[in-house]
Amino acid sequence: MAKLAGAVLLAVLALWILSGIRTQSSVGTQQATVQAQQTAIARPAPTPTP
Amino acid sequence: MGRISSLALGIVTAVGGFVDMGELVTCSQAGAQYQFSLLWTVVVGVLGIMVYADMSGRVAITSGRTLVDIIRERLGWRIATISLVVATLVNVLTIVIEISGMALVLQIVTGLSYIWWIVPAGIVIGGVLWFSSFKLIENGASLLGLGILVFVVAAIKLGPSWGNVASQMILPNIPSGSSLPAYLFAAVSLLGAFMTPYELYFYSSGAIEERWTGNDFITNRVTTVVGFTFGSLIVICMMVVSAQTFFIHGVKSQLFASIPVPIVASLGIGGLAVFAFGGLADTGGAALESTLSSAYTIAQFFGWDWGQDHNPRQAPGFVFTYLVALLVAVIIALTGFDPVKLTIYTTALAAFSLPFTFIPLFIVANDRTYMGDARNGTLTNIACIFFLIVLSIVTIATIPLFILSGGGGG
Amino acid sequence: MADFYLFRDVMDKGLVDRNGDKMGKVDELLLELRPGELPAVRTIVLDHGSLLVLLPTFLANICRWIEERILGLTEIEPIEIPWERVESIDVVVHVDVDRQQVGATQTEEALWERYVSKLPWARR
Repeated sequence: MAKLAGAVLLAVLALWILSGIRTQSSVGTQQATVQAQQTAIARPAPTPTP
Repeated sequence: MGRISSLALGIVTAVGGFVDMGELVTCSQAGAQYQFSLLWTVVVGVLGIMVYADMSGRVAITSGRTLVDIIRERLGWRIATISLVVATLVNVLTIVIEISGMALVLQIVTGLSYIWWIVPAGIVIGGVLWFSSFKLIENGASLLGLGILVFVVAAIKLGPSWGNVASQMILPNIPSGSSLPAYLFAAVSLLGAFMTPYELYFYSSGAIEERWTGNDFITNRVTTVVGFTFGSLIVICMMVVSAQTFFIHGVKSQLFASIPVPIVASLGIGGLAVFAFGGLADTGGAALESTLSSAYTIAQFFGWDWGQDHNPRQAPGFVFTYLVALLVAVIIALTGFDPVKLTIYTTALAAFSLPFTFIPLFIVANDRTYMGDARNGTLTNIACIFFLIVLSIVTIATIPLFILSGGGGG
Repeated sequence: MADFYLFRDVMDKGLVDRNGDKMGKVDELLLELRPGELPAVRTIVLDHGSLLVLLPTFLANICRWIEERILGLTEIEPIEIPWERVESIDVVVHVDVDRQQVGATQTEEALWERYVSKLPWARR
């Protein structure tokens, strides 16, 4: 029973590692900083000076 | 460095760096008092830290943001402040117990009381931080700390019934006559020792210090899974050798000096020497990491420059913080409060504080704007929620258990 | 033109200056309401004072004591950065200023001057 549980656990861990390979291939080689979607900021139209 | 060798180094680092004063004390105490019936905490604790450390690394890789930044950005300033205060308290207490651990190992080796070794240990830690790079600290301490594998050798020599060990990891057999609150409080301390917050802050900051990119997803995954799996084998053996040496004879209460007794009994003076070397490196490495964690969290909270890749002129706030943290820790250690007791309380406090760190991390790891395709999958989320439930129960139960068990029953 | 959310995208975000250096977090935003117009974001404010008022008084006083005695800074003025200086927003807010010129590094400089620079080998 313990052996079975242990084998299941090892299998789960191995699958988890493999799923990491899948994630890496889809995320690619993006650099660490600035990966989230960039939000373009509209500059407010220059306010007319009174 | 080649991919494979860098990966191997990462694994070795995780293994060598896994054990610190928290494990040394709580595991030997657990084995002596409860034989194999607390081994299940290893399964829960190591799986938990695996999931959350991996998440911590993933978040650092994709967003370039540290855990501290994320907590403030996602949950606001008030929660970030509470989180910071709690984390700093646990971090500083961790420095105290690790430095005490270094001093206690030196006491075993030299016979000179550990109090005399506190200040020298503090100076060494300060000096290493002042002069060394991140890589040198992380790799050096962990490689030297591999000596702790001597527990595995001793466990094999002491020949417990491994079938019993394995089955108790799933179905613990609590020794008759044990107080349930004391047993559960010991479980809390063990979980806190395995999932200490400083590890997460250190890991997340470390990923950024080492400039991990998307290429490092696999490194992150493999290092956490394989490294912590091997690390768990060490702590299982620590519990086992203590059980085989002390529980059998009904010796319940543990001094620090009792910890290497099973090693001497099975491997002689040579084993003791290896233990001393590995133990010193492990507690020293943990002292370095927890001191750095204290500085990371505070410097990142205030938005200062931080990191070991900066010299003091470039990151004065960061440097000032780790020096002050170290100084405060040395002063607390010098008060002579029993380090073994303090370790048990600190690890329990660490367990108590885990949700404050885990919940924000979990929230961010699911945030599409931060994580993109690397956000949590369903299974990861199920695992995370499971651990969060367990930890929330732990948090709620810690203080009542502490009171009911009469202060830990140690 | 693009929409963005104040809390999700701006508040409590890290700020980065024109050289890519960190300069604290967005503590507060100053909005302006002109009659007949929609509210506009005028200024990003770095002002830990506005955060201190959220704390219980004794804690706020401890913080002020630390500032005065340990850092030697008696009056830390809030730092205001006009919204026009915002270049882009991703995981951080990029602003076109120099952090030293706007005074964002006062605490760190105080710690360097008063304490860290006096330690051996500090200036390597």
